[in-house]
Amino acid sequence: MELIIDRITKQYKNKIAVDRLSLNLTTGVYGLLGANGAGKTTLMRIICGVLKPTNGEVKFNGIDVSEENYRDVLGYLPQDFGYYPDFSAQDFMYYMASLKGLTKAQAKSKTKELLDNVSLSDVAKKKIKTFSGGMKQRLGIAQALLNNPKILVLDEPTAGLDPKERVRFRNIISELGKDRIVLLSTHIVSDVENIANTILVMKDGQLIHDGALNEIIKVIEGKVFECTVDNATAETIMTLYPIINMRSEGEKTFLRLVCNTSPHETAINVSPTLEDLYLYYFSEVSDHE
Amino acid sequence: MNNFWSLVGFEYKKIFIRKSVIIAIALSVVVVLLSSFTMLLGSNNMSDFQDTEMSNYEEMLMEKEYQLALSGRPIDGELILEASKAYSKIPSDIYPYTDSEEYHKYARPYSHVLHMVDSAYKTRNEPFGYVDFQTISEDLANSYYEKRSAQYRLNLENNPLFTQENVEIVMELDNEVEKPIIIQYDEGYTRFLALSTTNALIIMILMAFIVSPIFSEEYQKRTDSLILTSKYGKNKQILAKLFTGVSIGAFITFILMLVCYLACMFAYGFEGANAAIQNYVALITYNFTMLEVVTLLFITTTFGSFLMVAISLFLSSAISKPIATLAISMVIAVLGMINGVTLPGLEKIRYFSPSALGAFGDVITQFSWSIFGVNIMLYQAVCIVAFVIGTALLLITYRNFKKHQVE
Repeated sequence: MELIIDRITKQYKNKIAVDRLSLNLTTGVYGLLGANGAGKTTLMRIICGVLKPTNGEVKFNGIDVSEENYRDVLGYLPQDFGYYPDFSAQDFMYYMASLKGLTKAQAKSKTKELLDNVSLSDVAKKKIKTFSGGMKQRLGIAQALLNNPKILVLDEPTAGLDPKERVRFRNIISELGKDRIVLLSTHIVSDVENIANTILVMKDGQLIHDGALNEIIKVIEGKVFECTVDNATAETIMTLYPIINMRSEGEKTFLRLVCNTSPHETAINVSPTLEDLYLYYFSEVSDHE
Repeated sequence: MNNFWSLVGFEYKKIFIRKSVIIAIALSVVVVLLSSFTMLLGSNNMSDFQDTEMSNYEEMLMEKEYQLALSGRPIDGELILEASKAYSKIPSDIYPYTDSEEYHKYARPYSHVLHMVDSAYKTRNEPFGYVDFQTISEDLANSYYEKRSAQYRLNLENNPLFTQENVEIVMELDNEVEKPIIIQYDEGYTRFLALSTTNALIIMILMAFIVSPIFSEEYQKRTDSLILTSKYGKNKQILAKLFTGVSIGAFITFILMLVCYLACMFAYGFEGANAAIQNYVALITYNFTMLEVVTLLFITTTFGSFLMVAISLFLSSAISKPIATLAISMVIAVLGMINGVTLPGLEKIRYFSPSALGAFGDVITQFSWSIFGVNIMLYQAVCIVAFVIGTALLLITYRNFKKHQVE
């Protein structure tokens, strides 16, 4: 099972959203990280065949992204999940099942199973317009799994989920990643940290890191410091370095920051996390997307 | 194939789940029914010389009785002179003449005869009124069919949209028309034909309203991503959408026309199916019965509806805002009904608009084209063109949605 993304470029008038990006994905969970405008959603749309790249190709086991057989093994949850407000959750699932080529019997059993998995069984016959944001998101996840996809693309799947739902979702994804390719993007670093076997970091349309968590955080090993300093010193340090965390403690301020050398004599070097890496790269990136 | 019908079912559901669609259909049925019965509602005091009030329904029954009395009689010199004699009893000093006792007593039973012959006898500058009818000569009465032909030829020759070749083709058709024309009571049919313009407009606007969101709402609701990434999203689903639009168009068109037809029949009577169309439009040279014309109108309106659906679906696939799609579709539906909206040299284009395909007055116009030696009349041409353009638009619509980029 191999998803090959070969030298994908997507260029708009004055902007390159994805820049000659190549990837080979095999079974497992891939977490895609990047700031707004990094090109994550564009890449995911290209992988799902709803956006044509300017150059390059996407193939799964030799099947081109434009073919019906490719879509047959694809599950997709878009960032802006669309639905029919007057449909019930059950009808929506049946409709998606028809679109995905399931028989009536398959649609019925799969719908029951998946709505149960995402805790929507009780409201299966209620109109989607009465659902909360989290419920809609769970329905979106359920529809993506209807055809038991070999490629599962989830764009911001945890948006709108409460902490308990997120933990449950992570477990589902970890399980699914055992025998399929799962590619998910999120702003919530801890989601990726906990479930992704491989982390992909995108910046300006390019892949700047690709590897397991412990591999990619090596970039900032020895560069993450914590210190508690007086407020005036804290102000000075904050102007010089990217701050990962800051907490006021009365007369003093606690800081966690990334820098090449110790920012203060009291600073201690600590183990880096994925969030440190993320903030190190994207703290200065403004919203473009 | 099962998935196809299942997808069609869901497309129907998406449409009929909208309350506005149900309301629009119900409203259209009410308007069609009302327009069928509206002439029979209320009363008037112009119908009776004694100024007594008579309901419109009673008046219709009276007219029906007069026409039924004439039914089966041929329009010929004898009948024209008989009618003229009855009209000659109307005194000249009463205005309007329909208020006179003599009109109601003698002439009114023959009013249908005057209605049928006046278009043949009128001259270019003068209408043929009851006064002319009172004094019609025996020669003129006996030469009704010659006058009818000459008058129609003159009308066509004076119409810049007809070439001499067209005129000859139209006049040639008159040989097929059975003469003498037999008078028959056909008010149910003539009411239905008279209402066709309004019905066509209602149908086309309703079509635009129902069909416009089929694709554009997917863009607006952002469900396009889900559809286009699913197995059947780029083939069966698009076909299901097109089938849904076209089938709804055909079904609603048939139902609304049937409602109007039955309403007219129940209100005015089922008589007249075999009456010649010349009972309604005396000069026309088509050899059609009323039932044939009604069937023809059902067919042309269905083609018009097909074209309207295709236009709306095309716009729906190309424009992401349902309201913009709807607005443009409605403008197209209404434009076809406005006679004055023509471009020099392209005056005949209007006749090919969806609404015109449902309007009796437009469909029955006797334009013709000679293609590879075969004469094609307007009512045939509009169906062919609607089918060809509609199919082409549906193919483009298919491609539009298939190639749609989610950005």
